[in-house]
Amino acid sequence: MGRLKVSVDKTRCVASQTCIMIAPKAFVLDEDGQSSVAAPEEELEETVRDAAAMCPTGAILIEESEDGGEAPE
Amino acid sequence: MNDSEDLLSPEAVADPYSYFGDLRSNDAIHWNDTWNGWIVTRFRDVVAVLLDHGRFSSDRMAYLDLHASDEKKDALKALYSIISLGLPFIDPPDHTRLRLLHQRASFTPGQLTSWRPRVQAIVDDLLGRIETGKAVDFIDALSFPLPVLVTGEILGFPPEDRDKVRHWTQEVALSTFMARMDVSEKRARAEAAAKEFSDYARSLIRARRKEPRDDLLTSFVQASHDGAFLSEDEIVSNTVLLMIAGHETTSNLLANGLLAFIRNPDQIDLVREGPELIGPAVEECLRFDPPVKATTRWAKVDLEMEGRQIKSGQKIFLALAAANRDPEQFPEPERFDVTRGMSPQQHTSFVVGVHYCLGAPLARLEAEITYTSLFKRFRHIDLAPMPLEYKPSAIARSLTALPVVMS
Repeated sequence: MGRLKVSVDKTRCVASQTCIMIAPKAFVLDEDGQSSVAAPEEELEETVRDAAAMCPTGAILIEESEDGGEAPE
Repeated sequence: MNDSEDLLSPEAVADPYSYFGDLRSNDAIHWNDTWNGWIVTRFRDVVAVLLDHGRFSSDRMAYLDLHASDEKKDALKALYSIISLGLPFIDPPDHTRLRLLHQRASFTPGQLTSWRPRVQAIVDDLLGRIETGKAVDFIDALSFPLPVLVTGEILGFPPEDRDKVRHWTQEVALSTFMARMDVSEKRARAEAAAKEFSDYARSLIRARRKEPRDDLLTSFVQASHDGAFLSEDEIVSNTVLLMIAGHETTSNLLANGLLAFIRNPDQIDLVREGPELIGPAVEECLRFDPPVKATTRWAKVDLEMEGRQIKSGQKIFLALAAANRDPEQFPEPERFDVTRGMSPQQHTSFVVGVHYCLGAPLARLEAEITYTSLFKRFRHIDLAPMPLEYKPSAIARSLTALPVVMS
């Protein structure tokens, strides 16, 4: 993937670990038990988007980078 | 320090904040002889235990097997056999797979957006029936029926079964929320209802397998992750639990929050004038007077916490209501303030960690729509002059009635 800018809003992350279950390469636990972005490029874009959609508090933010935009499929 | 060690004493039930607040200031990790376990009241300790699911278990069945008397095991077996596959009562790694499948099928904030108009319509209908200028019980009129109607409809229960489902959820809640009544009677009633309810859910689930519909039961049947599906028993257990766990708790959120608003009418005005405050306002309701005062865990190993020796097998009572008013965490914690910018991560009312409330996004949606509609429809919302009472429960923060006059 690599065209997406992924971040975790720490004021919303409730440590449900949903994203880590779905996209274990893209997200890791930080020392406070919250999710952090690790290597989103290691996962399929679809998997990272799925992790963001499944977050119970909508804590994962995805921005399209300027040069990229949506892939045709 | 409170003289009483009884979590169900009238003082502790009426005002858990003073009771737990005393403990938090004087003995933050407190051994309670009557409950036979530790009571944890500080925000940082409550969060630490919740996040440490490796050492602090939620598995009630395993606890019974290892630590309960044979008598107690026998007494609880029937009920536990129905709910033991429920997400709140299992640990990772089993929990991980089940949680993901349920979450995929149901309650992400995005999936719930499509339900917004329907929840609004149900709220409007219930509000439309309220007589203005007369004393009505808000719980009876709105906060109790709303979650049954909404969750039942999302799951796909036929509307004509509404009263039946409502009856079962009430009966089972008798036992899970530990209200003080004759133990063998409430257990028998809870078991009978749980059995009928799970048979009912099972027949619907089988019907959906043959004939899929656009509802949550069908999503449960079809949910898959990495080639894994939910078993029929798992769906039954969690369907029953979704109704029970989502019912009284949502009702408590709506009623406790409204009471806080009525006692602080300036906060109603703030939400009326700034509709964008509704999200943080609901979080503040959750923090200030949560639907559930506490949750429990048990230690799987001997461990030390803040100088206390906790032994393997000992129970831990996590006082969420006390953590939410910890002055180390919140400035002026006793003040109900919708402008403090409360966010989901900052309070413990839905817990934190892998057991984070599955229904939280739905409860938030119901609360946002209820308060917004209520404050729009009624200019004056007052308490009727009647005493307020809470149900005698160590876990639920549940008013017996909330008589209000609205016009």
